[in-house]
Amino acid sequence: MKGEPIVILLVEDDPAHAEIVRRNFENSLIANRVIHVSDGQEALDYLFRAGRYSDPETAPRPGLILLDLRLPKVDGLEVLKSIKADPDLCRIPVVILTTSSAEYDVVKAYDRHANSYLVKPVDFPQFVSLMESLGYYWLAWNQNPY
Amino acid sequence: MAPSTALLFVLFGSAILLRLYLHRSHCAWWASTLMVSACCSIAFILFALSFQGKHPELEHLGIAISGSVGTAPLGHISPVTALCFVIAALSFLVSASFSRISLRRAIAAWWLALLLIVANLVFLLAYLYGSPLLYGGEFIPPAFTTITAFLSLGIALLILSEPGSGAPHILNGTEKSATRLLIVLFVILAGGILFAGNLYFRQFEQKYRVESEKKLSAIADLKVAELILWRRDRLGDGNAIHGNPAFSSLVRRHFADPADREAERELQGWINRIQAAYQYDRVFLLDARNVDRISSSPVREPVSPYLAHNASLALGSGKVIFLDFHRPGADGPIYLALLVPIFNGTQGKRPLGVLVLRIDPGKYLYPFVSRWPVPSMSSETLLVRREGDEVVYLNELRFDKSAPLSLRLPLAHPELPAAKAVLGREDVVEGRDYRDVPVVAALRQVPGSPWFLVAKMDAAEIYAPLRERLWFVIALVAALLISSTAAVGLIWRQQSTAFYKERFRAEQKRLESEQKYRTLFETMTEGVAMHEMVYDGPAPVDYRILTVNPAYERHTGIAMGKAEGALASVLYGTGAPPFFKEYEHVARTGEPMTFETFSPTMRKHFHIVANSPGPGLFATVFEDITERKRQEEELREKNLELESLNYTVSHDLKSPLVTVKTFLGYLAQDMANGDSVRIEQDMMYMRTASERMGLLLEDLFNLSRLGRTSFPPVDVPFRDLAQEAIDLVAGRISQRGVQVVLADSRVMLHGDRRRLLQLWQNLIDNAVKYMGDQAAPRVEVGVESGPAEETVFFVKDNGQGIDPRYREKIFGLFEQLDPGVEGTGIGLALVKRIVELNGGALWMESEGPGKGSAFFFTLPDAMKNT
Repeated sequence: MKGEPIVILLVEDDPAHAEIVRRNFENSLIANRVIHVSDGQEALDYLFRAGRYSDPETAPRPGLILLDLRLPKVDGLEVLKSIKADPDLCRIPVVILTTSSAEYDVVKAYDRHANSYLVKPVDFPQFVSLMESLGYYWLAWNQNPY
Repeated sequence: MAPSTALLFVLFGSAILLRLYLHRSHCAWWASTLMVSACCSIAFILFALSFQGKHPELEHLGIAISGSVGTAPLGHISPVTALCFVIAALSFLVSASFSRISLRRAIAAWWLALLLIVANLVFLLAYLYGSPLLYGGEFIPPAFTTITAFLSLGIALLILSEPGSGAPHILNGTEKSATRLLIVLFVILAGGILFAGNLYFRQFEQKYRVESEKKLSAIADLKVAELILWRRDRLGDGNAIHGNPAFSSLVRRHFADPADREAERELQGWINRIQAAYQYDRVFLLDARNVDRISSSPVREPVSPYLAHNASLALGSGKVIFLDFHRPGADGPIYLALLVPIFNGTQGKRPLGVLVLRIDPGKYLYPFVSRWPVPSMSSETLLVRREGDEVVYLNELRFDKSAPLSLRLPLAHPELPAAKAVLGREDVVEGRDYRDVPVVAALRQVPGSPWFLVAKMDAAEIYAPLRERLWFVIALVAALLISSTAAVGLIWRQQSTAFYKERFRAEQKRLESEQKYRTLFETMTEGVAMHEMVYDGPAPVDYRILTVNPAYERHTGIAMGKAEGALASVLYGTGAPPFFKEYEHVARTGEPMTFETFSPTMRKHFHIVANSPGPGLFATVFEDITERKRQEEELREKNLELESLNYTVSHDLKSPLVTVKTFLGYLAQDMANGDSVRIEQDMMYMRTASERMGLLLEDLFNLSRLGRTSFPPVDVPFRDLAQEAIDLVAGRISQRGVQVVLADSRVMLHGDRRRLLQLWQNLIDNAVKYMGDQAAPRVEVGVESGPAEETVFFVKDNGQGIDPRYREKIFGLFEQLDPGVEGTGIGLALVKRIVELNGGALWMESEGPGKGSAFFFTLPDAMKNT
């Protein structure tokens, strides 16, 4: 683990949900930086450094991507596919964080090589606990390829 | 008929009546069976007794009967009758059981009844031919009445033997074999009748002939005897004078002295007395020189040389001569004569003369000979004698008075009875008489004379009664033949009627069944087609349509007349015959096959079942399942939509819930910490989420209602509707300062007004909502004409526009391109649904972000009635 904080790319169209994730990470002890994009197109722009994210400084490579599935413009699964199809980006762990527990989504997500699939719990303590575990698991315990 | 027989007949008749008229009644059936069983037992006992010659008094049933026929006593049953009863009872008992019809039993009963009829027919014939059987024997013969009663009983049993008394097959076979059997039966019957008739007549004829011959012989014998007697008398007369010395002395005296008047007177007296006493025609005395000296008649006749010659012979011989029939003159009368020689003194003395006793046969002999003891039209007696090679008729004939001595016929005549008589036959012969008429004759020789006697009668007369009898027999035989023909014909007719009735019934049934299936075939909703494979050598190349039903025509649109007989490859216009491989397999193996197919030429889906009713044939039964397919497709789409709805709802409704609950948690923390900024923030998120939830629910409700409820279609001008929609979003319009342009169109719409209003409202609302940072926002609502003259509605704006990449995505449920804009993402989905419900299309055109967008749609169903 390097000294600089890990960049987490949060792809979430619902501002409230984005706020929840941000607050959770704020509370965790792990030093990190959450970058929030609100639709699929924006996420792709960020990752592929297109549009307003063309500057690597303003768009650092994320160490973890939290991806919602129902997204305006470009669907979450499409975004996932683009990430995993890219030889460089494909190594970034992509955790699907969505309200959908539909089997179709789960299967499709894993088909597209999602690294994890998490369903947002409706219960507050569970949500908090999940976010905590997620932080520990992916940011502390999990060995990233770089 | 014995009283016992009569009683048995009554019992039998009652049983048959019961069986015939109450054949549905179990009780009657048992009663009749019991009665016939009793009959059978009684008949059997009586048969056994009668056969042994024992005749119980009980049989008379109290009626006083005495007497006997031959040695057989009266009033008792004949063993034949008893046996017939047993046969009849057996026939009745085996005829049929109550519930079950057994053909074998029926046949047995039928044959037994036939046996009864035939046996009694024999007895009946015997009676009718006048020689009844068993008469004069030890056994009691069956009475005529009994036999006729048995014939009726037999016919009744014959009818009864038919199972169920309906019209079954008595003879258990085809109509042909039944006919053959009946023909054999008839031939036997007819042959029997003819044979019996012939036999009877021959016997009668024989008997009659013998009798007739006897009669003739008797008459002939009588006549011969009389003739002999007559001749003897005449000779007696002659001899009496011949030996009379007184007479000869008188003759001598007269001859010696012709002047002796006393002698002459006395001689004349003698002669006259002789003539008168013996009824001679003429008595005269010839002297030795044959001179007529004294005659009983005053008329002198010349002495014929024949007479003179014979007189000389008589004088020479000294004996009385019986001079046979002769004719003294050329055409004079015929006489017989007795020549009595007169001698002087005793025998051997000087001859004096000859006394001639002349006999006129016409006076005595002819009437006597011709007299017949019984009345007859043609009978007569002939007297003939032989003269050289000729037979000479001596007496007057019934049919030829001039015959005597003049009718001469050659002895060589083969058939002439007289010739046969002259040749010495003395019996009865048949032949042809002098008239060449067939006669029967009795021949006799008259002893002591040259005469032969023929007593004859015309065969026609003698056989007249025989012919009468023959006619009677012929009539009888004919009547019997006719009745047996009628009987056999009746049975045959009954048989063939039963047979044809059965055939007719079967045919009727077959027709009904055929009609039933035909109707089914004609009215069934499934199309049916019968085909045959068409071969090119051994290889099947095509198939031909043989028969189709009306449903075929309805489903395929091909006229039945055009389809039937056509080749599939030609008819369906598909080049190769459709499903050829599959059908060929079905026709070859007989394995049925089921499949569904879509016909691109007919634009229809079919469910086809193919089976093979025979080698090289196959039938297809098909159903138009286009509608079902469409419904299935619709259902599939609905399901997909529902699934999608379900998916989005679970996601999009859950989202605000997660928000609310999570921020509630934060709120609790923040309130505990007293972080007022955070509290405000938490509450703001919660409010937004719950508002969004409310909107979502409302829109979902609207969307779901689209498919379910609808209002009756009404006519509404497009302009009114669009104006109303604009008014509904007037708040947002004025807030944003949007200029709305409504085209002045007179297009009329026809549909659910509420839905149509929603359509425009959503589009206008969207246009205003996504105006972006346009300085002079403007929305245009209008109508234009499409490339195919169709009416195309549009809502155009000069707002933020849409990236063409998202052209399709925008119409998805809960799809929002811009999360920042208020809305649920249902609006365009709703619009799309409404357009689709009206059979139209919806599309969006935009040159890109910031360049405005235009929504176009058609509403064909809403245009229809305007």
